[in-house]
Amino acid sequence: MSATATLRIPRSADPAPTRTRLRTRRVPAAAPLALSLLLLVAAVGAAQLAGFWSTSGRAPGVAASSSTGEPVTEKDTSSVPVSPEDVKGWMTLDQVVRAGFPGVTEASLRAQFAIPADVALATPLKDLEAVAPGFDVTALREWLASR
Amino acid sequence: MPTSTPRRPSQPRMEVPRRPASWRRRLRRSRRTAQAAVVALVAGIMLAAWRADGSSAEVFCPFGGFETLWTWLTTGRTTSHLHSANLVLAAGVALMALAARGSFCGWLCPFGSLQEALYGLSRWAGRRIPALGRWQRRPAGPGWRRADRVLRLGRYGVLAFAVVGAGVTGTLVFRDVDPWHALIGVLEFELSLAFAVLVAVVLLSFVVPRPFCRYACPLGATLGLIGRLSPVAVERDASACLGCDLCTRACPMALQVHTASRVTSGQCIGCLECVAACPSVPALGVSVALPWPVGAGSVATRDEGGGLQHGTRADGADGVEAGRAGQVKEGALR
Repeated sequence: MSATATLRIPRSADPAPTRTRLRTRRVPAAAPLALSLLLLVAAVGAAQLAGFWSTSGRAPGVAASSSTGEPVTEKDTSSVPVSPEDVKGWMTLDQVVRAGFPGVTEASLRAQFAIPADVALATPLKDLEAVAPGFDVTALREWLASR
Repeated sequence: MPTSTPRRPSQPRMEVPRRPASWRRRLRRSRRTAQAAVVALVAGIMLAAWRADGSSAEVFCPFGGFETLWTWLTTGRTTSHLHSANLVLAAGVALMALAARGSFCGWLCPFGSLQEALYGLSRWAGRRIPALGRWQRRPAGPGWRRADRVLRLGRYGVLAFAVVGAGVTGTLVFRDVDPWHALIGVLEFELSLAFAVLVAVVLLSFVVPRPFCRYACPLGATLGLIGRLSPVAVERDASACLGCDLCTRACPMALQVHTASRVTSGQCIGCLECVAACPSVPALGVSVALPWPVGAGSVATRDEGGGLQHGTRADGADGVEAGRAGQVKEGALR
């Protein structure tokens, strides 16, 4: 940085004294910022390269079936979860009913979570939270596991 | 016998380089650009999610990563609504905090940017409406300062509630009151407790700069704690300081920069507004330090030339190492 003008500090200036317990060295103000941004970008880039970046339960990696180890197919609404842990927010009510969990029928599911009858079976589970108070995917998984 | 010439009162103590206004403008413009870019990115994600052809902005929230960390470590799965992107972004902002403390909050966080914009709007109105301007400039009373100090602890309570709650229940307990969650779902017009909190934050932002960041942000609290390990901080050199307190007045988090030696507070958002406001180049800047003391019972102090000297140890308050509380005049250290 080039400073052309000078600032005259008067004798009357009465700043609090500087006392630091650390050895310090001044660096350009932009350097730590640039480094921190670089680290953020590098973390995201490395995760994407390693296949650890997922923004949806439909993406392979996070949604891998715990039972089979196979990733759940992208946008595959015809598949069914094989265990309660495989149930994801993007799945529909229909997929849960078709999964064949013991004693789980459309009627029992609607009764358990007070899901209105006018909610279609094709509704994604994540959208049910807005229409059925008390419903969430975790609660559904726990209920399925307890059957 | 030598006679000493008495110094005239008008004689300056020293001359230091003045910070060019262009540098100040560049820094502020860079920050505003970064903030606007992130806000635009989030707005795009929200719009895509609303049209149901994209992921919710929730999966790009770094705090979600901290919320789901325990569940992920113990079960290998993420909590509902969260994905591995949250974990990656949490790791990313943690690295940012190690490199530059709260720089994520000051430069990238869209919710912080929104609060700052609202407060800026209020100040703009205050410059045009004299009565409002006078009200805004009134000094804070001791009662408010005490309340402010206590309220600032609130974000650690929110952090504990959100992280421990998520770990114990396996659900996002903070989501129901999270104003950010309400904001990213604002296109769906859902009235909820979180929406009420959002309205409260918006209204408060006209009066207090960054109220959510100061008093309730669990991500800010997390980054503040991680930032304690950072060797980077804003440092003040008293020998070149005018004592004008422009830095303190510029700080959106109301930290007492003009009495600090190093701004190590967990509340520092790394915005560098204090540095931009300081007219003296050597008085305020960013420095790197080793995160351990120089030696037992000794402190490093700056002399007029900018070099370090060793004096007696000073106790540091939260984020303010030394300062007026030490009651040590500058000459006593030389």
